Parts: sequence; structure tokens; C-alpha cells
Amino acid sequence: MEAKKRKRRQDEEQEISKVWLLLVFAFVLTLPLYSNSYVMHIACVTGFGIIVSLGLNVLMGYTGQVSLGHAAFLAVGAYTSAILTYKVKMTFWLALPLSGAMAAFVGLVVAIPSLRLKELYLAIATMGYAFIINEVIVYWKELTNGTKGMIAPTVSFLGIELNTGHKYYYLVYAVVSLLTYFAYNLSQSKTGRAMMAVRDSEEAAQSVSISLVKYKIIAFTISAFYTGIAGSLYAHFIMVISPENFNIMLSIQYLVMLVVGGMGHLWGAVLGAIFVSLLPEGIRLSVRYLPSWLDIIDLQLFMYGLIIILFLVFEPEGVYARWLKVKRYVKAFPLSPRKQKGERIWRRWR
Amino acid sequence: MLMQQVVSGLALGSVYALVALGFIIIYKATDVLNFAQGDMMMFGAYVNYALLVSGVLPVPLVILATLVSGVILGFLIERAIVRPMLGKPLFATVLVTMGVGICLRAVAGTIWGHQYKAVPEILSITPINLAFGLVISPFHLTIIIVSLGLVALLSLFFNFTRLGTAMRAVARHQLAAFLMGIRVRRIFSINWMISGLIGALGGMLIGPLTFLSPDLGFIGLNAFPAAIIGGFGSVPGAVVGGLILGVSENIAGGYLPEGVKNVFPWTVLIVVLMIRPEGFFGLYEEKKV
Repeated sequence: MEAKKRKRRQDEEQEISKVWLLLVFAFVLTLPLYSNSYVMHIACVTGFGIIVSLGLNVLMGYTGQVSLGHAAFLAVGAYTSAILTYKVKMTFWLALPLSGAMAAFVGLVVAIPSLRLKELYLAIATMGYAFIINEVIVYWKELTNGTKGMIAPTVSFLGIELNTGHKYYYLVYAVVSLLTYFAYNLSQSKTGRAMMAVRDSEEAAQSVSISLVKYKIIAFTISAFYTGIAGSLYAHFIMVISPENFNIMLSIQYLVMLVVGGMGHLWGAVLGAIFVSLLPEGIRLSVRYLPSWLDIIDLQLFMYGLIIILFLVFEPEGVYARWLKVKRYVKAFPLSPRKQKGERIWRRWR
Repeated sequence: MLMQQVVSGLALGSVYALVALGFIIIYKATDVLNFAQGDMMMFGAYVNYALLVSGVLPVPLVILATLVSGVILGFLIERAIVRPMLGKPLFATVLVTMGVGICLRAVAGTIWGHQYKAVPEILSITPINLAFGLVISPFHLTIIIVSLGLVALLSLFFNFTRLGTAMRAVARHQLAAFLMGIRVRRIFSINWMISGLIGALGGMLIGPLTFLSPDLGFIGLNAFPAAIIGGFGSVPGAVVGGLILGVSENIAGGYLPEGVKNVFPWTVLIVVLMIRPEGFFGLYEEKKV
């Protein structure tokens, strides 16, 4: 009885109802039918954001390890894919998992020396790795073409060239769905629960013989794998990649996605990625109603900074946690809702 | 050749040390890592530039006004954005400072545009001869002297004034300091003001070395390794870290293949963190369950 109740509560936290899931699925499937290539472009970019955000969520939301270097894993994935398909002439369908694996390997290499680091030190160290990886890409000219950039050829599927946003969209969202499903399963599995235990208290986790080393390494590897997959998809989408695509601002952007959406929640990561990816487009649309001395790039930058500040000051747990609060309030309406966990994600960084 | 690299490395290292000092003064008292420090420096550099170009004030007043603007900026950031975050998770506050940095960059871009700008020279940057065949420009020399002077002043301030003692007390134990009647929030505010001052000073010093652009603040990121090598919490540590880094980066640029120079601080950082996760001057804190 008690177990059943707990299960139900967990479901309420993690799952959206099947009807909702079906509706979202229908929307994703039919979106290309009534949208132009501009919308498709944004949808694809949002898809890459969702994948990285899910991956970062495994590392930060579940395991409580900060990373300011995810742009570098994206770069590793993108370059691996471009090199394999363009120079080695491998098919994309093999290069995609391989670039994920390559990024995962780099994640492993980064993880091992970072195991002793905590919080801010870890953030700064991962930032350092990102700078180093970027510099390696710039100067390893024989392999990466340096700052001139690499070409990533178009993907073909059963003889169909996926050369427009409409066609590429289905590839991106097939991968997004698969990886979302995997992330959901991970959060319900023993591994996922062990990660959350590490996040909540390293000492307590160790005391029940959860190996910190093992789960931190797993988290880094999975997170980097996700990001590498996104990198591969991204490379074949924009066709030409160069090192300046993967700078520190991109890493910060992924962090912001997670924080805005709601760290530690699967749907929070997805929502945050959608929100942050749509933000610049929203500003671009509204800019014509604003005075002309405002530069659009500066305005985007400013709004971006402002959103970070406002979210963290008013709702550090993100959109999804706010949604849960509203839902609980409505459900319990005349009474006040039961107190819930939720603060827990942040407690580690106190 | 080697000595020459060392001398010019010292100037670069002094700038790193200044930014690292800005980080540390806030971090020690409030445990917040201020990602906007580099952007505060950038803003100081632009204010300095604007005042110099407009030419309404004589040079000493320009310097004074820039410093004051830095103090005001630090005060405003603390009052408007960081103080509401008191009691919230630390990492959230750190992310907020990132947001502040981004906003500062956008504001600077809106006001001064994105073209590279050269700051008018107050001091000559043509090199003069020192003893033993070493050359250094008066400007680089000034950077070194000003930074070291500032550090000396700061340590005097922290050790021998009432306010400085209060600040150290807050850094040591916030609650105890509060119970002793120290106004902790005011101390936080003063910390941010001092950091703003150091930022503006750094901006003035680094302006003539490079061209100004809103992205100048990214140089501030290079000061993280300096601060960490220095142990993130000791003022002399920051200076030593900054100088070590500046010198070694310059030597690496001279003797190692190209590209190594840019990542050298980060390589040093990662090696240091692998050996001592708390930095060389840092204290290891045992955590209790």
C-alpha cells in the first residue's frame, strides 16, 4: 500500500500523463506539415538543444556535478562526425554513434582527473578542458583544417538526401525521442538513483557503498555521449563547422537551459532547451517595435543575461518546478498543497 | 631573452593578479565567485576611454572618475542583484553573476559599439632600457608598480584598520561576526565596492595594452587559474598566482609551439588541481556528515 502510494507520487513528479505525451508526439510528428523552412530550422536547433540539455541534466541534475565545458564535447562530436564522413567516407549512420562514443571517451578522460574536484573548482576545471580542446582543434590542422573549418556532407537515408530542414527534422526528433526515453529510463533505474544519492550527499552515498568514482564517471560519460550525438547532428545540419562555433558562451547557454527549465527534472531539461532556443527568435520578432538605436545582437545578449538573472532571483528551480507548484495548488485547491521535495537539487551547492 | 620574457610576463601577470584579487575579495567574504569581474574590468576600461576621448577632465581626474565609476558599479550590482540572492543556493548566485556579466557586455556594446577602439596613451609604451640590457616600457613598469602597490595597500587595510579587521572576521565566520555586532551585509557591499574599484583599475591598466571591445572581459577568465593556484582566498596568493602565470605563459609563448600560450594557464590549472584540489595556498577543509 505504502509502496503503491510512493510510486504514485513519483509518477506525478516524473511522468506527464499518457494523453499529454500522445499530444506532444502528435504535435512533433505533424509540425512539418504546416510550417515553413524557417520554423523547421528553429525546430532542428531546438532539437540539438534538447539533446545536450538532457545530457547535461544527467551530469548536473542527477549527479550534481557542474560542467562549464559541454561546448567542447559538442565540438568533439561534430568534428568526429565530419572527419569520419568527409575524410574517411564512412556512412553517417555509423559515424553518428561513433561520434557519441568519441565524445564519451573524451568525457571519460576529463572525468578521471576531475573526480576530486567539487563545485566551483570543477566548474573552472571543466572550463579549462573546454579551452584546451578548442585549442587542440584549432592547431591540429592536418586533422581538423584549423580555423578554416570542416565540411560535413549531407546525410542520406535510403537514397533520400536529408538536405532540407523538413527532412532533417524527422531525423533529429527521432534521435531526440530515443534519447529522451533513455534518459527517462535512466532516472528510474538503479544507476539513476545512485547518481541522485551522490548528488544529495556524497558521504551518505558512500556509507551505503555507492561508489562515487564509478557513478561520477558514468555520469560524465553518458552526458558527453549525449552531447557528442547532438554535435554530430549539428555538424551535418549546418554543413560547415569551425572552432568558433563552440565557445564558452555556448557552454553557458546549455547551463542556462537546464537552470531555466528546472535542474534534475527530465521535462524541465526539455522545456528549458525549448525556451532558451526560442528566446533569440522571439527577440528578433519583437525588435521591430523597439527604438532603432538598439542593436539586435546586444539586445539579444542583454535579454539573455536578464532572463538568467530574473529566473535565478525569482525561480531558481526553473519553469518545470513552477508548473508542478501550480499543478499541486490547483489540485488541492481550497486547501494548501502538501509540502514537496524540490529544494533538494540545489542543496548540494549551498 | 629569458629575462626579457620574465619582465614582460610580470606586467601581464600583474593584470591577472588584479582580476584575481577582485575575485578573491568577494569570494573570501561571501563565498560567491564573481564571473562578472572581467566584465567589470571591461566596463572600467570603456569608461576610462570615454572620459579620455571626450577630454573634458584633466588626466588625474579621469583616473579618479574611472575608479569612482568602478566603485559605483560594484555597489549597484551588489545592491540590486546579488543581495536579493542572499540565502539562496550559492551556485545560483554564481550563475547570476554570469548573467550580470552578459548584461554588462550588452550595455557596453550598445553604448560604445563593437568596433575595436584604441585607448589614448597617457604613458608611453615605447620601451626604455633598464639595467643589464633589459627593456621595458614606462607603462608596463607602471602596471607592475601599481598592482604591487595596491596589494600592499590592501594588506595594510585588511590587517591594520577596523573595517579591514571586520572584513576578515566576516570572511572567517559570518555568523560569529554577525553576533559580534558587525554589519555583515554592509561588509558584503564594501567588498563588492572594493572589487569594483580593482576592476576599474585593471581596466585602465589593460586598456592601452590591447584594443577595447565588449569581449575584453573574457581576459578575466584567464585570471581563474591565477586565483586557483593562489588558493582562492589569500590575497598574497592571488598575486603570486598571477605573477607565476603571467611569467610562465610568456615563457611558454617564447619557447613552445604556437597555440600553447593561449591554453598554458589552463594546463597549469588542471595540473595544479590534480595535485592539490584546493590550490597551493588553500586550506583543505574536512567535511563532516
